[in-house]
Amino acid sequence: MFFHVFKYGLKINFRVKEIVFWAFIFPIILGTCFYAAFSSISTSTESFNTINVAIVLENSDSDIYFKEIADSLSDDENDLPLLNPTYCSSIEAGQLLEKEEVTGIITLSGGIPSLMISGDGINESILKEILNKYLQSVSMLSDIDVNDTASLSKVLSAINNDISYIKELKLTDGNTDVFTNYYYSLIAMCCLMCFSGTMGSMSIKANLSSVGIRKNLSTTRKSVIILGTFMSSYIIQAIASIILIIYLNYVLKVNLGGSLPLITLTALVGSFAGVSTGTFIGALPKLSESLKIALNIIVSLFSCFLSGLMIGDIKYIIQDNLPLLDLLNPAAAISNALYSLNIYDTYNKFIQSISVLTIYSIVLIFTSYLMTRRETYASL
Amino acid sequence: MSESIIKIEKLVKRYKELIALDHLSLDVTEGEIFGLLGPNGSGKTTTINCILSLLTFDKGSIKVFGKEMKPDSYDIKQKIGVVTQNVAVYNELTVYENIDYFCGLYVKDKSLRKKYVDEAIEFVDLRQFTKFYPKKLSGGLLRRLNIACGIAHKPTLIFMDEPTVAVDPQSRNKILENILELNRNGATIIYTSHYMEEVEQICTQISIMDKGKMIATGTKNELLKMIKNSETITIEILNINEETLSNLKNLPHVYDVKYNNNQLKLYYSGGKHNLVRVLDYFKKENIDIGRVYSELPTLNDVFLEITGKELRD
Repeated sequence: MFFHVFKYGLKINFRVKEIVFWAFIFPIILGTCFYAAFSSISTSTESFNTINVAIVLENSDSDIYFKEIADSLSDDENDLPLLNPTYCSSIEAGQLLEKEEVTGIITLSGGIPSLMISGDGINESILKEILNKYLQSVSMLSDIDVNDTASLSKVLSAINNDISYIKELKLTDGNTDVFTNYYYSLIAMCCLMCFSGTMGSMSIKANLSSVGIRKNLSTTRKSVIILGTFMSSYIIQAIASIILIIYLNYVLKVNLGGSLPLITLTALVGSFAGVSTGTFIGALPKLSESLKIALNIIVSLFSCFLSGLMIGDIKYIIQDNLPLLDLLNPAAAISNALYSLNIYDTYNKFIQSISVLTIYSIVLIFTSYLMTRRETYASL
Repeated sequence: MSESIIKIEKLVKRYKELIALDHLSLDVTEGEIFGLLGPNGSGKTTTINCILSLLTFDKGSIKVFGKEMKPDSYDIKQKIGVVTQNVAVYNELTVYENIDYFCGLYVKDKSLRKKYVDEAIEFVDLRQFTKFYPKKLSGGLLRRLNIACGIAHKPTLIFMDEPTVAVDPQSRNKILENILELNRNGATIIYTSHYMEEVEQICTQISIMDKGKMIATGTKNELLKMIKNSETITIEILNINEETLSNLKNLPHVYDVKYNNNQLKLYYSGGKHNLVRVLDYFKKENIDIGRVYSELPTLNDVFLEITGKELRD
């Protein structure tokens, strides 16, 4: 009987267009949109171009120091030189700035450079930093007695080497890209948005459909019908989440961090939680069919919202202020499990998240069974 | 003597303030086609749902096959088939798959199930539509599929809740033939309808319901005997005077005479050859008449006389 219910459950689920769309197609569309959006953000934040700058010399001996600095920064020994200086008159420099062909104008007066810029972007900030550094160095050197060789040596060393008092330690070998969390939430959403669970559970209710009446009057036990229907929904959801992971990992080449088998395991446990949630919502008494579908969407999207699907920082706000909600939120548990696989070397956090999901699922399935078995209705 | 299959005593079902079933009692014996006749909202479907233990009820008792029906009465459920008022099939499964699916909820053995499914398909004459999805079927074919899904596991007690609603006359006749055949094969059938012609045509025992109450029960003839009217004769006549009307009232077995829109109606209570007598009267009085009809009473007349309203209000 179980296999009979399971087999037909699978057939029905794969033939319901809404289930196929929301389980298989929608997460892939959303994943593609994330990829497109995050790729363009990465490009705009990480790209760097050589800064065009106009330099106006006063043709005195003191010009030579700054000119040497500028020429060394425009040296293309490296792939991309920092500066591309144009030596010209102040009038020509003004024209170049007006045409936005240069980022700024550096004018030397008595060997002291001054900067004129017309914007406040990254390139302008870099120019300001170069000038500040140059002026600090000039100031340090001018205060030193040239005959005090020991002090001179220390100052030159300080100029040549930027002293850092903070040692940079790498805490993880994982992918620390902030956008990865969005993909975790997407996987969580794919696991939790389970219409097949809700629809399967509703099809057992005699007050919601004539098919439900038939099932209630059959000799197959409710537990067998619930289990068969549940498993058919689970298979759909599990396949959908695995397809999403394969798509993200192999097609879009998103670095999800962690080992792929454990990521897949997380998705499988997450799908279990998703189908349990759907089954529980479908089994709730006294609610109409459309209300249950709406509730399914609200619950899955809201839990994903709290796990950072729409706004990444929400996850951390909830973690700081409502840790219990974060612990019990299935979407957060899925994304936390994926995050811990990526970041931590140990599996404590991962096991904690997987345990929460498993307990959550078992409680919901058992409650659904209690709500559905031996059910009679006050009205149909 | 036939065995009582369903016995309901003083059943009361309330929906908040509304009393849906008001101390309803009925007894269905084996081999009957038991008709539950009543207007929409009279409590027919509620009665069936209470019998099937889908609905809770407030008072009374229901015994099916001599036992109390509970949600886990699987031995009773095995003998029951249900053809619901709304078509209860999956749109995502083909005709064959639907019948196989619902039959499989009762029959474990695969080869036996296949035999039953094939027999059900033959029974409702859907062989050429087995690979069709329900959405591609006409209303009549869909109703036949609904029946096949309900009876494929060979139940001995079949509930049919308005199985002919919104179907063409040809399909309706086919469905009624199917019901008679199921009964000939040994099934007891509970048939609800608000179509009195159908109930008259196929039911061996009829209960008439109104506002949750059982107002009359018996065979068709027994029900018809409950009312005063035994024949109504209608005569088209242009003019008629008071004296003639008075004379007609005095004819044997006439208990009422009405004249409206050039139509004279004579209501009889018993008697034979009533038509001959009235035609003789008009011939003797030399009164010209037009068309003449004689009608025997129907269940609608029974309903009308007991409740004071038409069955199809």
